[in-house]
Amino acid sequence: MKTAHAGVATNLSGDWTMNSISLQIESLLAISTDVGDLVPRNKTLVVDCSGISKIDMSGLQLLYVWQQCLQIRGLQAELVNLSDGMRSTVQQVGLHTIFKSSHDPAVS
Amino acid sequence: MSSDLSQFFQVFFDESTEHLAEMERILLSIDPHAPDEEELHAVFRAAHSIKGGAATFGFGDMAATTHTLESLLDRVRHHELSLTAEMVDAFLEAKDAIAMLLAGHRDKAQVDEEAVESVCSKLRSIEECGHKAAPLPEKAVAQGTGSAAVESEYRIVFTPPPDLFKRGVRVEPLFEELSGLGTLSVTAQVAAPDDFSAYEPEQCYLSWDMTLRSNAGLEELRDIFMFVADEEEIQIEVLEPRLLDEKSYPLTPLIPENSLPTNAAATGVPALESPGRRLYDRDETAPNAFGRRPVDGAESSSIRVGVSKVDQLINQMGELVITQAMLAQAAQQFDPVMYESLHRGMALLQRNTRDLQESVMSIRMMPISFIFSRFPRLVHDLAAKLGKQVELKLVGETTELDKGLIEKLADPLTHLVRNSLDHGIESPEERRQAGKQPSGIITLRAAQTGGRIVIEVIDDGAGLNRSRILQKAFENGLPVSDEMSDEEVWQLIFAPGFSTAEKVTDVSGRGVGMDVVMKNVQAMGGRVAISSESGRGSRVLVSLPLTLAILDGLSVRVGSETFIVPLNSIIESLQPQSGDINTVGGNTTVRVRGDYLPLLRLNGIYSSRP
Repeated sequence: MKTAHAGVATNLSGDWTMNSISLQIESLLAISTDVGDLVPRNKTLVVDCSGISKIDMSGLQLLYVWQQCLQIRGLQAELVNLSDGMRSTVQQVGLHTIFKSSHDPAVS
Repeated sequence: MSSDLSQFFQVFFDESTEHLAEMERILLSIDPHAPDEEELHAVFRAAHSIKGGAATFGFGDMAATTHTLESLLDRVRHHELSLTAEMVDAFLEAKDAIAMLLAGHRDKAQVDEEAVESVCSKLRSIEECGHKAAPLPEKAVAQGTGSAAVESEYRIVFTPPPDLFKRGVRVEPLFEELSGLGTLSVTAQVAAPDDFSAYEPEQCYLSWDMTLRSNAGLEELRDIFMFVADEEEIQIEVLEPRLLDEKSYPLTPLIPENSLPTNAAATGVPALESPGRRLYDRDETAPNAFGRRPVDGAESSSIRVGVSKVDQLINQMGELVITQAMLAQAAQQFDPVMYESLHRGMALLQRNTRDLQESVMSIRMMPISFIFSRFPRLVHDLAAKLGKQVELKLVGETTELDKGLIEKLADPLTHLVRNSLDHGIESPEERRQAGKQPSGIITLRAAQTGGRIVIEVIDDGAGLNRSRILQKAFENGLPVSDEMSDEEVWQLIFAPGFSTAEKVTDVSGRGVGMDVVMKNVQAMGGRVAISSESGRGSRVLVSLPLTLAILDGLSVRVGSETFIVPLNSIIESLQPQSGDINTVGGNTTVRVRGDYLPLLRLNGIYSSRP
């Protein structure tokens, strides 16, 4: 079920597998560039993942690294509205502990 | 599916074929009433490896069918279900179905999907209605490896290579499989660069540290990673066996402390040097390629080479032998005293050429087990169909013969074995009445005798029926008499269309077969001989030349023409005295050890001038 989140938000969609990973990194770079202007320091960027149709390990890794890089810049990103499949994969491959560190209730 | 994977399909097909053959071999020898623990594990491992490979390469139908088989096997090996003869038959059928799917992907052969589904249904039905597990037989307990019955806690550290994603390897199924084995706890670590612009999306920065509590064995865990990781990329440590286990595993730390980043964000890309080969590597002949276990010892024991290359080598070898023979002939014109060094050199050349020829020929040689291995299954199925009990004995499986002969020998031998089973071996009741054991014995024996390979098909059945063969031959219009020796009578069964079977079945009785056997064997330069004793059994002996690729010959001159007669067609050569040659009734004969044999003059046959 889709959850509403307050704060500055962005959304991700489409194929997040190796087939399209180069395209997705472009979209994240664009968000990274703009996000500094939109999100005040020490605030949270809510990332709506409900539009992600497919994701594999390379996609999950990309999301994590992007999240970490934002954190180094002093920005928090929360992944929300993960599909059941994505949530299950995250859990199964042990990435839930990493995403959990972003205090995202949807992942934990 | 990535097209890059197609170049590795062949290795998967080859390895799966080997796994299927191993599975069949074990299933045919397993005792359903007292199955050996290790054999059950071995069958499971074979199925598991096929499933893993099939899933990795995207052959979903194969993976699904093997999964159904594997599920039942898993319950059997964990003693949740007791093994039955019915299960063994179902496993064999499943093996056939997987082989059919494999052929479908490999050769684009037609797949009978209904048959595959029927096998899967049967397996599921057995699993659902399975018997309660019987107490484990003492033998099995004593022989158990302990690798499955004991719950252990494992620490698994998986550090994949950086190009994991680029090579299209999907690791998600690994976690699914590991979860299926017990309680799995997974922690992922990511060692990515701090600067997002330096991030390579196709590079894998992940590594995993897992804890698994399971009663699966160490080998089973390794098998899960077989098609994904190299040995050095996966480290498995037994932390805490719940019960005493006779196998001990090293408890020393398995990875250097600095090889796993403790703080992912703070560390750079881990140094994942991988000296071995792995799945999708280009050199599929490497010892570690495709997750193969390293061969004992430092060197690989074999390489795969195309048959065309070997044949080319043999052709060139043949040319070399001819050239050497021509040189030797030319050298004979030179005085051996004056040209001693030339003659010595020629003798050395001849010896070295012969040695080289033998070495080259040995490349084409294959063990006869390539043919023999098909018979346990054939005998098992046919015996069940005919309601007979038969034990198959294979002797001399390592005997080698030419690859060309191996391929041509399969059909004649199959026919001989089927004949022995159908016509030779009696039903258990008939055998009991004859004072024999209810189970008959068919022996397949191969041996090298001189320059020939001798293969025997021996059964301890009823033997050939002399009077019935004579009667049938008479009815078929063949020239027969009661004075014929046994050897001559047995040769009658090689006549086209000859059959003494009272009814035609899909096994035999159509009278097509023994003549074909004889023709095929003769086409290979071979001979067939039969001996039989009523009530004691029969023996069919097939004698073949070692190779077809290069033949030694005897050079004979007729008038101005020279002919080469293959040595394997020559039984004896002799020079008759003029008194031994006679003309009887217009035909010329030669007297050999008291017998008169017809003498054929080659100049008459080839119309050449004497």
